[in-house]
Amino acid sequence: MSSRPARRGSPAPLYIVCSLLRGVGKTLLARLLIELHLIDGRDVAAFDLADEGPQLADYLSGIVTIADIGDPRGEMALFDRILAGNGAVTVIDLPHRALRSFFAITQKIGFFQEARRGGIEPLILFIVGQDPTSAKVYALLRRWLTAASLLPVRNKSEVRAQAAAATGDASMDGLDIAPLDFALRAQIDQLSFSFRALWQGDATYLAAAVEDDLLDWTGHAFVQLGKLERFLGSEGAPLGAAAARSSALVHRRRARRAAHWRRGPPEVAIDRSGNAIIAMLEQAGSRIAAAQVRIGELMTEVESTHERAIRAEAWLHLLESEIVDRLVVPPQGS
Amino acid sequence: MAKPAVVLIGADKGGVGKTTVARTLLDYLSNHQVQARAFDTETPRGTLKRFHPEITRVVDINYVPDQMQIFDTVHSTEAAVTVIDVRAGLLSSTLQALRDIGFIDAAKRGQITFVVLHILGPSIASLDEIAETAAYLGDAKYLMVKNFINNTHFFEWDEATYAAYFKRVPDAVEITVPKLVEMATEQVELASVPFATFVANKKQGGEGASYSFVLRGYVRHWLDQVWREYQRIGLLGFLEPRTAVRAAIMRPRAVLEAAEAT
Repeated sequence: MSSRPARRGSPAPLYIVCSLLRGVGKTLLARLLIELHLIDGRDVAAFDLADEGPQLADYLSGIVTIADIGDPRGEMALFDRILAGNGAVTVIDLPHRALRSFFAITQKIGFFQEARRGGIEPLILFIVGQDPTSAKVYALLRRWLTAASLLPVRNKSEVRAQAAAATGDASMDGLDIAPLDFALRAQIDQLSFSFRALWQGDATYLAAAVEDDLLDWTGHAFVQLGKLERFLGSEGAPLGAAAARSSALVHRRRARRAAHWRRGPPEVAIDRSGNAIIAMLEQAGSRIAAAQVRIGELMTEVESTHERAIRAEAWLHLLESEIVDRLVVPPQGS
Repeated sequence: MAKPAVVLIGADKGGVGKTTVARTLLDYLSNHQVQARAFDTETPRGTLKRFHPEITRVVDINYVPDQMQIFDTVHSTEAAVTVIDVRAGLLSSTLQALRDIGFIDAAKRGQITFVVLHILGPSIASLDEIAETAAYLGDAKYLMVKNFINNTHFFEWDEATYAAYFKRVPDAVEITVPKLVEMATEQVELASVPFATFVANKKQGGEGASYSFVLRGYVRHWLDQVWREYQRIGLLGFLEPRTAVRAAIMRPRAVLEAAEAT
């Protein structure tokens, strides 16, 4: 993979993806950011502070470093390393449990100020959740963190975040991640799914229509994320080319399908939702079968142990009889 | 000519952070461009001298020629403030010796500004030393320093005990020195540089260093807290009044400049 640092004259972005709640699409957003920049050939350093799965590191092992800021050593491993980043794009997936301690540490040691002095531009992407406290926390962070940029994100691809987007502060300018239907979400949630593979046309296991829809959705997300670097003052945006590539890919694939239909009988229409459900059921079936095998093994073990216990009890009875006969009952003639 | 100031820093036992506090004071004075000199009584090898070698001399406080070196030059030295890091357990006896040579009287007559920083430990024996020390203070400014090097509470949870010891000397002032993260403390020890030099990521000779930013951040934050304590009690005001006035005039400008920069 070719890699390059930040554009000359542009700050290296440091994205901190966080929210007050679980399950609002924080890790998905972090994945999009990382893979988008990798597609663009940029150096990326990613850190996962999550303590429950599935984690960012599960999707992008080899790129993501698991970090723990529970003690100074862990803090040094994270913050000192980011500051020595040599122009790489940095993404931090910050779980709700570590939110307070993370920002308390950054404020105490003056991390964001130092980052800016070193040509790193911090941008906090705060995903607005269903909890009304989210808006309050957002306002608090905005007042408190003066050395970092803060942007609300409305992730409509998550059910919880959709509800929040409906009730949240519509006046907050921020990012919007488009809704995602169940079938597409099921594909993206697979640990093996890669946005890069999708973008480069390597996701050949996907049905054409599914691939097209994923490209559309991903392209839209990339266009939204492309605003970030303009927001940070970078020259040009890597995602303009990426979004254009998305459109071109989709058009080419649609043209190829249309040509195929003209040549011969149309393919049988595939219910893409049904395929996704079938895939999930098959996966669940495999897991159930594996569990059944394991249960069988455990039952065999239990039976074996039971038999051993019965034999041991028989021996104990025998020993008891021997002891009674020889030691308790006096021998004949004494 | 400004009145010279002498600051005595002592404790009844070792390990309470006496030299650490002395180092923060020397950094504070340097930050305010107040020329200071220091005497380290941990003869023959002084701890304070390792961190501030250029302005520190190691002396034996019980040795008359060394006493002359310190007190006979108070008015003639260019340093506005003389800091004496007294060996642990010798604070009371040192004060007694100063009384015997007339130093306490000189302070009473207004010829010298005399400040005593008494570093307290979390033990009754340490608190008992307060009364013993107070007996020799005369007109000295008495500062009781609670140095939180561990998780002690200094008996704050027991009002009666706390009042019995900390309210014993009527004009005494309390200073709190918070705990510094252990790793940061150790890194500064290894670096053997003043706290401010460590924060600036420099070595003893002024050349650039590569200390951890995280640890430098912790030291900066902690030093700020300690200096705010000195500022709160007006320490600069009675050590070097002219500098205090200049600092007070400059403070609003510094605040405005910082606000404009953000």
